[in-house]
Amino acid sequence: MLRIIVVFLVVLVAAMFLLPRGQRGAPPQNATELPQPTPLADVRFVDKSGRDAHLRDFKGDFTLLFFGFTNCPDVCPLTLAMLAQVRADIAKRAPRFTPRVLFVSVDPSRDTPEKISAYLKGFDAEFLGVTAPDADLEPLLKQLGVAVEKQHDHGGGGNYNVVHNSAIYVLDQNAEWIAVSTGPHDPKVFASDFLRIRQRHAGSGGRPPGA
Amino acid sequence: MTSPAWVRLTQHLIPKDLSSAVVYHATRSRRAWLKVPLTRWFAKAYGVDMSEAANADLDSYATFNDFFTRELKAGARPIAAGSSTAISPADGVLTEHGPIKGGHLYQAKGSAYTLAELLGDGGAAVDAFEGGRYFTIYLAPHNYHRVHSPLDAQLLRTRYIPGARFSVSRATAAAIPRLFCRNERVVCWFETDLGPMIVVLVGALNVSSISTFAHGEIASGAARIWLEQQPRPVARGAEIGRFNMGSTVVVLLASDRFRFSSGLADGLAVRMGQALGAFD
Repeated sequence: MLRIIVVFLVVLVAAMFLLPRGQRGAPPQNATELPQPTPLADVRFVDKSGRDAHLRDFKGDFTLLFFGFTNCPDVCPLTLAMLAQVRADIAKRAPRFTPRVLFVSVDPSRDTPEKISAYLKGFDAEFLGVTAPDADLEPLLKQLGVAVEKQHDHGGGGNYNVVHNSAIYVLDQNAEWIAVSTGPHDPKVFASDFLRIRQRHAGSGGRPPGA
Repeated sequence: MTSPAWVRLTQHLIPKDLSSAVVYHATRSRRAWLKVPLTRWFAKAYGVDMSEAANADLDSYATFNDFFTRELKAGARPIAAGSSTAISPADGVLTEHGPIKGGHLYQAKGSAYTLAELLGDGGAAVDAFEGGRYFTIYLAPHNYHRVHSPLDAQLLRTRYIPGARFSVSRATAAAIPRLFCRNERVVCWFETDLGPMIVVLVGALNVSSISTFAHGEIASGAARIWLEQQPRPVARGAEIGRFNMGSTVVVLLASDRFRFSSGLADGLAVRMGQALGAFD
């Protein structure tokens, strides 16, 4: 009997080490993981200081990607405030794992680097922001399934609203897409989901930076 | 030594968060050896008029902060009549008032800042205030520290914007550019029968927290937004918030039909309930 128990325990322990490592950790509650990290279209952005930037510049750490525009009346302020709380929450629970937030403006004609910089400061001084001409953004938006539609006022003129979704895209330390959360978002749930995704990704042998 | 350069230097050197944290705890202490002398010293040093407080007994306040955010006697601040009359939301000094032009406001003579940066928002909701009016009231430490609604209004949303805690005294406002856009603040968006209205409660050095009628004490930290499921009504003259130390209130009115009262001048001491102007 004892032998059976010992063998059972040995098998159990072995199984814990031998099963695919991606199976470790609970799945996220409100986000969808991709089967494998997906490299994203290379876009030449302008960052909030007016310098050139590419997604590959964001390697080395996990990044939360969000698309919006500074004139946005509702979705952007709510989502950015939510992301500020997510960062604050993770900074308390697991400071080393605090992700970067990268805001991509889909309204390059109105959102100058200065405007993006001033806007993001109202949420979290650490938020990063970029934009790029519409045509340059197109492949990335298409790949991630971000639908952007400009709705002009009846009077014409420069007033228009940009309709977009509130999805948040999780990029790993290689700046590759690994998960998406479509909302509605809750900061506590999102923070936990991010930590789970991060842990599961590390467990599945996510390639180290530069590999 | 109050040259702008000196003010800037000292404001950048003061450990503002530490100072505010020490003040936060000291002002909420129930220990009599700390609270009683602190309250007495403050009342004397700043010439606080206790005769108009609902509770005139200095030593009976549970904490210094209770004394600081004390309630006034009923009738101590009569509310100017007329539903289209905007009243002063607070006791203090009117520091700036005027039209909103080109999206700019002034914090001191010649020192402008943009509405978009103050509110942290852009777009049509902010553009609606172009051509409207604004006024700014500085609450000195000895002032009554509750803030009241200038008009009958309905709260739509509240936003906490994190930031620094520079002093908002007139010397600092003159010396530090875009001061109100750099300090932490609570932006309250209202709708009224006379058009949209925004009340911005600007935090300051030693303002350890800001409270609002809708969401209680708003602790410093990450950015937050509260949307009202149903517009939350508030009567003209009813309390909408309080500063748990001295500070500044900026009121924005979207309508160009608002006329300031004659005789109103920057630098004038104002009292809560006093008429600041009316809508045509």
